[in-house]
Amino acid sequence: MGFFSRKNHFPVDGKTVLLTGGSQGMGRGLGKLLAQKGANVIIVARDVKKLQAALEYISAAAAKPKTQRFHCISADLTSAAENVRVLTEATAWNNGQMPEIVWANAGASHPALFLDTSIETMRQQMEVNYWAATYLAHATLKAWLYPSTKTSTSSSSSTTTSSAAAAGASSAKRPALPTRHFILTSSSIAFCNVAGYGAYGAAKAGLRSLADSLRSELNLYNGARRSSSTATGPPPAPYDVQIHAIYPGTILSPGHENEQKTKHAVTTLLEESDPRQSEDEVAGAAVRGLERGEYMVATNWLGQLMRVAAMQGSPRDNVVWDTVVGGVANLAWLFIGPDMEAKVWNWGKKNGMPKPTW
Amino acid sequence: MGSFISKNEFPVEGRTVLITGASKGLGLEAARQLAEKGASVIIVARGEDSLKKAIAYISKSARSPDIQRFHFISADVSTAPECVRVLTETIEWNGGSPPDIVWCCSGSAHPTLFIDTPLDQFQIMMDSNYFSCVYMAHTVLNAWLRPSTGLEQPESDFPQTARSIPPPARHIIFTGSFVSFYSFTGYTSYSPSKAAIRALSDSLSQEMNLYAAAHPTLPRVRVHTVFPATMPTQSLEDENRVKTDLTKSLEEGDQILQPDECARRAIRGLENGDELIPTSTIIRLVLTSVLGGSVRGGFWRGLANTLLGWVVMVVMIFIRWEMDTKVRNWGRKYGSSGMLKKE
Repeated sequence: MGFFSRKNHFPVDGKTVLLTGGSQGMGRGLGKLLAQKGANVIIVARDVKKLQAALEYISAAAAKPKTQRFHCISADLTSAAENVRVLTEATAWNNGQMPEIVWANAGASHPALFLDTSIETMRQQMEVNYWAATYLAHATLKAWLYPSTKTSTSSSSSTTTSSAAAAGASSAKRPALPTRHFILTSSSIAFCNVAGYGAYGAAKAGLRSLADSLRSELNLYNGARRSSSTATGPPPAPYDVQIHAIYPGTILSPGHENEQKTKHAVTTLLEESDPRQSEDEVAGAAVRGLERGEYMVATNWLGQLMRVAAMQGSPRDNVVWDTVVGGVANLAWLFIGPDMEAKVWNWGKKNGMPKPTW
Repeated sequence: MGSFISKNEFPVEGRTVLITGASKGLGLEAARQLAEKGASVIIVARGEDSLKKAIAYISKSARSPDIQRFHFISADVSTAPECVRVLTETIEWNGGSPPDIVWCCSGSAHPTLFIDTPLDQFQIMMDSNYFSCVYMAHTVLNAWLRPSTGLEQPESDFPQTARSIPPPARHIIFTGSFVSFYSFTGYTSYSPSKAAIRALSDSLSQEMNLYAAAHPTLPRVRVHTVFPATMPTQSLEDENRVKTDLTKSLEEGDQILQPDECARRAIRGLENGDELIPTSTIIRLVLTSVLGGSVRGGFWRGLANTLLGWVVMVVMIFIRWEMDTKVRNWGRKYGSSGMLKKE
């Protein structure tokens, strides 16, 4: 994970990736990129037509079209039960093996001033951006970390694990399968919530917090895997599990177009000089960060700066960089912060009270 | 009292304060101290019995018992309709005016490992911690800022003096947590709700600039979040019953603050005009390193915070590393339940 590391910490060739929000935008970009890198890809979204169109687009990019497989599942991920169903179907399709990589990418923003946002919309923002990812994480991690329990959706891996544990293998001899990865797509708004993104920024900040504490908790399970004592409860899974979170900025996508319908002018003003990325650019940046072994992946220079300025209790990927640049970025906030406040103030002064939209 | 050095940015004498989660803990102590400072107080919680006891305790501290009034409302503020009802009843009781200050203290924590947490607990925590703030803020801000709802006092009620002193600001206060900034093992289902509150506070604070500038004669709305230290309360006892031994060991040595001291520090921060208010040293230090774009109170204070933040950022590296190592070693030694083996 240092400056000179060239190891790919996120190999996907021959692996199966379950990707939510995969029918458009960043998700579609990710699907195509993973296909190009040799992965089998299952995309999940609600709309069947969009899914099928995306599936064709993604599978056309396959590096090895004869061996790589592609699938789509239509589901509403805001329910816990649907997430379990999706995992079960994905596993069944994947020859009884759970996907090794699960990416909770589904999300959508409905930006507007707080008082112009209905309660229903605020709850819905939490549903689509936070709960969908939390339920998927809960179902996936439960099944990955306790493969020998009944809640597992994979029958064959449980047999392997139980016999390994029964043999009383010591930690040195216990076979290790490749690391499994759970990835959350958050947003750089999580580092600094601004006027007009209230409920969305709060949900994305929630995701960041979830990632930080899950990262802490996974140490427990990964440590248990190396335990030489077999009398410590259920046998651990034969692989490490790692969690990562991506923090993109502005992405030019159908989702972005949708946002513009409700976004308040002051929010647009605050964002106007932010870098914009296409779905392919943001997917490329995200995967490159994962290949470098990063835990918190920003996809452009602005996200990078915002990230290091708001490191707080998150584990550092590159200690020196995060601290030094973070220090500089914090100094920059002394000026940027008040400047943003002034922009909002002046807008209000110029335009008067926002008209109620309800 | 005419100090040139520091102005009280949170005057409460003769004003009305609505506090949720005020039948115990931090909310109760905050209510009592504000009564001491001359406020009329309405407290909200679910249990009527504890509310009755609380009101008796609070009103005893009233500075001017003949003028100050006290009231309680039994409600579950984790749903939107209840928050609307609370505000409607408050306005009625308060002579047709909305309260000047709203302080949201209600909330709960269920600190078990993520995988071991029942799914309904996730929803409960998000609703009682984050959404209760959303609902209260939505209904109160509408009353304060939307004249067309008929609940707002017409501008003519705030007479323009020759010197045009703006009316005292209104305040809405949320309750965050140390885990708003730094989440770790055991708090995975709780910390997102607290991080969400901090994020909401930041964006609302920015939005209030817009309304303030548009209507300079209306009272400004200030948005704050208080970050309490660990307090020995009933809620903590409830938490500790489900908390894993691992989490307890990670928290060993945490500064514990009595709720009344915590409330005192919170009120001091409010009087100082701070937006993000720490109540313990460790929280203050962490806060300086995470401020990012959050409002910081002027250039020189901001600079001092930034310099201190640099030091803390370095320290944080070791703290996080040490904590991760502890968790890993625990797993190696005791397995993955997070609990010490019972003989």
